[in-house]
Amino acid sequence: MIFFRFKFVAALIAISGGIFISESVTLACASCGSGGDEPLVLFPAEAIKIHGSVSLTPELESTGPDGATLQSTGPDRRVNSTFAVGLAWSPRGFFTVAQSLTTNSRAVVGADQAASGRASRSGVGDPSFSGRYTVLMPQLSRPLMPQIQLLAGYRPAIARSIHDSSDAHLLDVFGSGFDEIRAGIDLWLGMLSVKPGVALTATESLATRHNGTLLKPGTLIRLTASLSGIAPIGDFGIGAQPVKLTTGITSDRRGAASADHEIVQNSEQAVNGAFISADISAWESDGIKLTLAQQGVFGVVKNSVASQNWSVAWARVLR
Amino acid sequence: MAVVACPAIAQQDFDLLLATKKNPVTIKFFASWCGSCKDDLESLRGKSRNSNIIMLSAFDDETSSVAALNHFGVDQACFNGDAIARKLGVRHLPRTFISNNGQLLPKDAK
Amino acid sequence: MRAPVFFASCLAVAVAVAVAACGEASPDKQPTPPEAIQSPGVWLTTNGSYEVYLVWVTGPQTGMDNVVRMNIRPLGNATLPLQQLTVTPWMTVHGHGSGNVQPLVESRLDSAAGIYLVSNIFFVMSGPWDLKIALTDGTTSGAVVIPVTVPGI
Repeated sequence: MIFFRFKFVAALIAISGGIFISESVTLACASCGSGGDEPLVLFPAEAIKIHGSVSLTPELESTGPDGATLQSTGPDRRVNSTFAVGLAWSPRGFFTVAQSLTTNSRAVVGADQAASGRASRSGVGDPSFSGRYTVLMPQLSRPLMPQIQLLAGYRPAIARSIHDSSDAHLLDVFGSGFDEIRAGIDLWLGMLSVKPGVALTATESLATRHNGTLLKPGTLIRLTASLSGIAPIGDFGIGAQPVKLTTGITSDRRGAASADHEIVQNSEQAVNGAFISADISAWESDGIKLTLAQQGVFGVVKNSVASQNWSVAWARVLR
Repeated sequence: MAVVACPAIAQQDFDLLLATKKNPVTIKFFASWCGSCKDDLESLRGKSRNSNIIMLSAFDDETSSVAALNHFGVDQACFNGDAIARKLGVRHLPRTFISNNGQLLPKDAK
Repeated sequence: MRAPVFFASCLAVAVAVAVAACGEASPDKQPTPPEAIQSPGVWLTTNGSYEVYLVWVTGPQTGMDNVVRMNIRPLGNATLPLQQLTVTPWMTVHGHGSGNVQPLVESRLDSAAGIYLVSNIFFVMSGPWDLKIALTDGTTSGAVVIPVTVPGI
């Protein structure tokens, strides 16, 4: 796993060095926030947009309070399918609703300790409701003025969580078990050839009683920093536009949890991640996005999950 | 001479405007927030005002559109093109259309 | 000769006080629960009502095949057999347990002597766990949390 992480980071750096930036190349949209967790972002000219994506997490490693990898009987692979709809109420603001379908699976070992297939279960995850508002639009006449967006979201705990799982391998866990409220700010310098961005979000989980204990996870602070630019690759015969490449890092820090109003010692969580994505605008209104992300790629990993994720997303502007 | 305004224009007035032009008219949709529009605007820098070029600002406020044109030294006629953009299904910027005898056809693929 | 008498009296008083302080507690007094465990492997409920001694029959390991034998010794007014004994595995630092998989308490071993078998203890992953134990004889209750380290590969 350590060796794979090194290869991933090396590839990331190599690709990043090769991108950016032909200024003569045009692209569909400049107004893209740098981070945020929404699968779907609407640009000022878009009123209704739909999104579909599939992501594969082939490796999942849980870590303990000392950063050591834990052996788990839980899923060792996860596939997430997400569908989202976005509606803009103005060129500056929009709502999105997203719903995911998750398939958890795990290799099954026979009596002779040999692998004998995979067990899997699928279920609906927690839905997500979110919105963004652009407080400060970027300006061609002021290239160093950032776009500033405020974002907020709510994710109700509807899906089964680890607290009420009935499966020996937790394959029936599809949700967090806690209602979550999220708020944040996103800054993005979109008028430069190489466009830096940073987003800061805070997610608060509401206290919930599980199995007789009132639990409350700590507040999650996520920092995302990214760079994007345009790499002219050429038409693929489908009128494809130049590819927008984005690379970035994330840092998640969650405070200590509480149980029955008492702080749980050594329950803080920490994990850093990195990602790279390629956006291709194809045909008239369609966009395709490929993303590779890895959690736990560098730095401390504490009480978290280190994982690798591959995803492909499609979005279409309906109006 | 600087651009001072990108006023709204009624569809029928715009159609009439195009119909009066003898030669093909180039219509460029842009916005002050559109980083990708930089090249288009840069290509018009310093060009003397041409009656066959019309700038249409889309999904933008007038002050910002005017500031963007002046920043790049673009001195062409400008109107607010929100309604025209919606009618033509413009969802991405920049977009260029060519008008010939009142009929608008896209110049580029997107 | 008053000084020697005085010092002898003081010595007598001091000895009397020392004897009184070191004397055994009256059998009617409740024992004070010590803050630390009395001896390795033996745990005291928080109110000092029971002693709990664990022996792992299988495990601890990840998965559901964990069985522990508990020896319960009542203290003070507590009695045997227990009316109820519940065991809940909990991974405190991660804030989760083992879902709806409930440990099974078997009382056929010798509940009158306080010997219970608890099976189906599910540790979903390795790492630091707590066994939350609650017990009662119907009148006197007690609770204790016993840490368990579930080893990885």
